[in-house]
Amino acid sequence: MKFYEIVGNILGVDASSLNEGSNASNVPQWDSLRHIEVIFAVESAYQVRFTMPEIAGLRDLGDMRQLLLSKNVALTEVNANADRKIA
Amino acid sequence: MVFHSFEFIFVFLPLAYLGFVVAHRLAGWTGAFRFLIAASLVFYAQWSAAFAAILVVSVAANYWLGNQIMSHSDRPDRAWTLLLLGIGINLAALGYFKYSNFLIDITNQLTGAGASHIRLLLPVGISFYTFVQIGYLVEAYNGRVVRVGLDKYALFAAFFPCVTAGPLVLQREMLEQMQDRRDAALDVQRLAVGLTMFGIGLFKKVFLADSIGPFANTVFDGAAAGESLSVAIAWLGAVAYALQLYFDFSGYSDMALGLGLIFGLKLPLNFDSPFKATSISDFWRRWHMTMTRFFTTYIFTPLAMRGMRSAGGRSAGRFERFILTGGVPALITFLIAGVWHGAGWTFVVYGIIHGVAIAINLGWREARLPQPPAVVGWLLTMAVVVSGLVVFRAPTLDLAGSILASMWVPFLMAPPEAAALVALDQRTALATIVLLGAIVLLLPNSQQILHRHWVSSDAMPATARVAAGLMAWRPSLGLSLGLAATFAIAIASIGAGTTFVYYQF
Repeated sequence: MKFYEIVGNILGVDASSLNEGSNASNVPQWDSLRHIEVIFAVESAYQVRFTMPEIAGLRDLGDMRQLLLSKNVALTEVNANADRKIA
Repeated sequence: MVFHSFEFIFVFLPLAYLGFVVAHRLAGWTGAFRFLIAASLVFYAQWSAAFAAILVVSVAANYWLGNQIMSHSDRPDRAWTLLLLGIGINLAALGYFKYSNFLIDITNQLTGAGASHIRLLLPVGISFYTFVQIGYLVEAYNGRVVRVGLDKYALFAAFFPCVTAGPLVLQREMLEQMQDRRDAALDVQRLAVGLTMFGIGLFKKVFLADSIGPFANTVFDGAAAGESLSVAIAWLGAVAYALQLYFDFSGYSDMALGLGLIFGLKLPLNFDSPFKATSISDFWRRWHMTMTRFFTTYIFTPLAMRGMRSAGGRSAGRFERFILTGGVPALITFLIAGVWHGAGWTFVVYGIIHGVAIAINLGWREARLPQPPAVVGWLLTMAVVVSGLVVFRAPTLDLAGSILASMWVPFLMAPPEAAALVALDQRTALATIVLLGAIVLLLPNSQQILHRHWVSSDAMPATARVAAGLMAWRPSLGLSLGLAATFAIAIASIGAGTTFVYYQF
């Protein structure tokens, strides 16, 4: 499964509605418990483990993708909306 | 020197603004920012030179630690050790000043030893600037801060509008505004909007909070002196205190944001009409917002993540999973948040009340139980908030318990004739509560009123414009006169001696 699909599955939203700028403040379904589930699902899917400070530093899905790339995860999927990063 | 004093408003603020504009004229924004560091130190040193020395040491030490952590980014083990060391030093310093005597009390109770208290004064704002800098160290470890000179760091950590009681800022929020500034320091519009925000906050503090405060004091002090409470008096006192604290702290936060704006540095929002909240989670997203952000990011999320990994690894059931990822983390987070407010059992219990309420709220949603109507949600939220604040305000748990019992289970209390009733002017108290309650519930908040000139470093929510309605700020003669009157009333109301409740934390 691809990155945005994993996240969309947990949040119960369509993957195409997500982009690098998506976070708890612009996705209504994203509350503090879903936040944990999103991180856990991404960790499980890509077989990585984030440290606590890394988790504390996540501001949006773009940050999470960067973190995965820094752990040598190959993210081939490019979301159609990826360049529309919301500040 | 507090914001709502003649010295601040008529001496410090004009001189600071003049110096800021002159420094900018002579040396650009770098000069202006450096001047603000000096002004911040002068402001803070008005409490005591010793406190200022502690602040300087704290800022210098954390700046050095942050640089050390960033220098070891290629050696994660070393950076991690440095981060833990940094957090440890900060917490040890905070713990020494804030919790030594509480720990001595606990030790005495447990062992029967009679150790006496250490003579310590709590440096103003130490809980705030310590947490701001712990946040900075964590972000430094993550490579999320930009290495800057000591001057920019010092302004971020000790900027006078927020050094004493927040908002708890992140480095990126301040730093982005310190880079590449091209605009003028002397900006009349920014000054007008900033002073308006400051004026609204001043009015909230010295006119509203300080006019309802005496009713709360009468009830809490009377109960402490052994006078008895009727149901009505207990409720009037509790609600009066909730409104006093609301106007005190939101007034302070408005003043802080207004001051930040005057000096060209927008700050994050700290209040967003919390008494309009219809759930306890909603309340904490709106009350002391930067503190909630801090505790969610650095305590709740790591604890919940730990719980999630433990539950996920064992394929736990839904209930067990919720306890590990929501219930227990919420309880621990609010327990720590409670004790952060002060060293004492009342703050422990205050934290537990909110932790339990949040856990129930999260569990309710997880179980997909039907959402109650908004008015029921609001009543439940306010019941928890007002009751929690009784414990927060009361000097002892015994007193908190007896006031809460008078509120909730009056039939269990001794009949009022056993002791003289607290002498509260109930009619005036009720009228004041109704008036202030209407302001809280029916009017837009300060940032909504000023939405055309957004005052915060946070993005403006889409709802601000609609919420402001007819009260949206637009310069006109009528508005100027109204604001001048508000200012005049506020200035005339500045009394001797009252400080901000949050200065003690």
